[in-house]
Amino acid sequence: MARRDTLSGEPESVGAIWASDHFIEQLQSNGTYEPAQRTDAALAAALVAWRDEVRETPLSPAPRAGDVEIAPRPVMLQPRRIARRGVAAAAVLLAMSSAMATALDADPLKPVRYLVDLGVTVGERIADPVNDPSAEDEPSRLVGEDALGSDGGPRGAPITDDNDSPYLPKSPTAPPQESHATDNSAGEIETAQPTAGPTAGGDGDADSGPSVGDPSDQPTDSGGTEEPPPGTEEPPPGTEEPPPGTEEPPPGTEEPPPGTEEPPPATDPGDTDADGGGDPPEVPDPGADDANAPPGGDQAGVTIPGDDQGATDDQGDGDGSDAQGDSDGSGDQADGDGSGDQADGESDSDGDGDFGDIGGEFGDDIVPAELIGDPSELPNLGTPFADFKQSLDSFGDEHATNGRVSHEDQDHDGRMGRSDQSHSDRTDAWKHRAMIFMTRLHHWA
Amino acid sequence: MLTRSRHASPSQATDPGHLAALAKVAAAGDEIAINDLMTDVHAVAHRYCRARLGSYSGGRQLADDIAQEVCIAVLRGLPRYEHRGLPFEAWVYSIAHRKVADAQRSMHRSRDVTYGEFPEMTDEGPTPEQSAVHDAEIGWANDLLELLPEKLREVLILRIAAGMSAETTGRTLGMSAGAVRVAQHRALVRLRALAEESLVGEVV
Repeated sequence: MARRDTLSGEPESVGAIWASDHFIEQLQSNGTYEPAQRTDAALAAALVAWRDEVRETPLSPAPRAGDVEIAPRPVMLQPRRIARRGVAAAAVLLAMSSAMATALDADPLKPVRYLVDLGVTVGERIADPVNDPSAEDEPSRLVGEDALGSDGGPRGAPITDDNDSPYLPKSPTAPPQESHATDNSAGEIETAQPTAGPTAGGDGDADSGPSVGDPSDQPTDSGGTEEPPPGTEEPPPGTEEPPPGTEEPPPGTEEPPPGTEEPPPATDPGDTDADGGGDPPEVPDPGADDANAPPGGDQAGVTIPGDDQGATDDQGDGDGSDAQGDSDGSGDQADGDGSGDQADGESDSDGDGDFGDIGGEFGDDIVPAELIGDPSELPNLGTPFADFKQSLDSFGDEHATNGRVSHEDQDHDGRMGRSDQSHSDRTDAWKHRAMIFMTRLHHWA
Repeated sequence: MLTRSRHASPSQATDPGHLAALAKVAAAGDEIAINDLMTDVHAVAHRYCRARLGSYSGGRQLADDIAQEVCIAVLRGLPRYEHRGLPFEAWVYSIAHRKVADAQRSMHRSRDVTYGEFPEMTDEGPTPEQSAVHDAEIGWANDLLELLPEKLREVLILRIAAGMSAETTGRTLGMSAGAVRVAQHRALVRLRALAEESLVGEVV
C-alpha cells in the first residue's frame, strides 16, 4: 500500500485516508460505522450529535420569491472591460486621425501633439483655474451678445478681446459699419442723456428740450458758445417744429468732403433731413431714437463726444457724411468747413466738459465707480483681469481724470482730428474692456 | 453505529450541478425554481451558520437570522450571478462566510443577548438529563472543532454539516478532491488525538 508522508514526518497510508473518508461519508449520510477504538466511538457520538444539531430545522422558513423584491439591474460593463474598449477605441481613432493627418498634412504625429497639448491645457486649468486662459474668450462672447443682442445689433459677429476687434476702432480708416457697431453701445449712453439738461440737446430726442427744435441750431444746442454758422436762423424758443427752409444746413456744414464716399440713399421715409446728405444705413438701436428725433438732429452726435462722434452724428440726423467723416477718423475732412469744428468745439468747450461728463456718466452707468476708482487697487483676479487692469493703468496714465480729458479736447478746439479720434478709440476700448470686466466679474462672482 | 438522529435532515447532498442549473432557471424569473433554490440555499446556509455559531450564546437564533440574510443576498444577487465553473454552493458559501464573520465581530463587540417572552407551553423534547448529555456532546464536539485549524475545520463543516461531496467541497474551497480527503483525514486524526487527551483528562 502506498504511503504518504505527512508534514510531521509520520507515514500516512492511503488506506487510512480512505477509511477517514468512509467515516465522513457515514456521518454525512447518517449511515453506520463500526468504531475500532473507544476514542473513535466517543468522537463519532459527539460528531453525530453535532451534525444533528447543525441540521436541525431552521426556526424560520426559507424566504420565498415574493418575500424579496428582485430588481433586475441593467447589465453593466465591468470597469476593466470598459477601460479595454476605451483604449481600443482611442487607439483606432488615433490611428485613423494619424492616417488622415499623413494624407493631408504629412504630419502623422499631429493628433498626438494635439492630444498632448490638450492634456497640458487641461492640466493647467485644473491646476490653476483662476488663470484659465480660456476664460478670456467666453466673457467676450457674452459681452458681444449682451451689447449687441439686446440692442438689436448684428449677432454672430466675431467679437474678441483683442485690439483687432471689429467693435473697437482699430484704425482711422475703419469702415462705417464698424462705427455702427460702436453706436450700439453709444445708444445706451444716449438714453441717459436727457437728464443732462436742455443744453445736452444732442440726445436725438426731439421732445427732450425746447432748444432741440431747430435742426440747424447745432451751436446753440451744445451750449451756445459758438457762433452759429451763416445762413442758419435761431429757432423761436419753444417751437417744436422747425420752419420750412430752416433745415438748410449751413454751407459746407454737412457737405461731404470731396473724395469721401457717398452715403446710401435715404431709407427712412420719415426722415425729413433736407441737408441732402442722404441717410446712413439704418442703425439698429440708435435708429429707433432717430425716429423721434427731429430732422437734422445733429445734436445727438454733438453731445456725445465721449463716444464716437461720427457714429452718433449719423444716429442723430442720419447724416451719412458725418458718420463717414468721423468714423473713418478723417474728422478734419468732415469738419473741415468749420461747422464741424464748431460742433466739435462746442461739445468740448461747452463749459460742462462733455467729455468729462460723458466719461463720468459712462463710468456711472456701465462700471460702478467703486470698481473704477483706482485702477491700481483693482483685485488681481487672474490673467483676464490683469489684462484689464493693465489697460486701465495705461488709460489712467494718459487720462487720469475726466476733467483733464475735457481740457485736452478744449485745447484741441477746432482741430479735432486724429488726437480726438484716438481719444475716442481709447474711450471705446476702455468702455469695451470695462464691459468685459463687468461680465467677467459677474461670472466670477 | 452512527444511526442516532433525532431530527430529519432537510436535504441531503445534492448533485454537483443541481443548484447551478436551478439558479439559472431561477435567474430567468421562474418563481418555482426560485422557491426550490431558496429551500436548498437556506438549508446549506443554515447548517453552515449553525456549525460556525453553535458555540456562541444565542448562536441558534443568530444562525437562523444569518441564514435568512444569506438567502436574501442570494436572491438579490441572482440576476447578476454568472456561472464561472465553480459550483453554486461556492457562491453561497462565500456569502455565508462573510455574514458569519460579521456576526462574530458584532457578537464580540456586544455580548448582550436579548430574549423575548418565554412561551408558556409544554416542552415535548428530551428530558433535562437527555438534553444535558446531548448538549455536553455537542459542546464537546464544538470545543474539539474549535481547536482545529480553520481550513481543516471548514472542510469538516462542509463535508459533515453542509453535506457536500469531496469534489464540491474542493471546488468551493479551491482544492482538489484528493486534497479534501487528505485534509479531512488529518482533521479526524487531530480530533482523535484531542479527544483522547480530553478523555484521559476527564478520567484523571
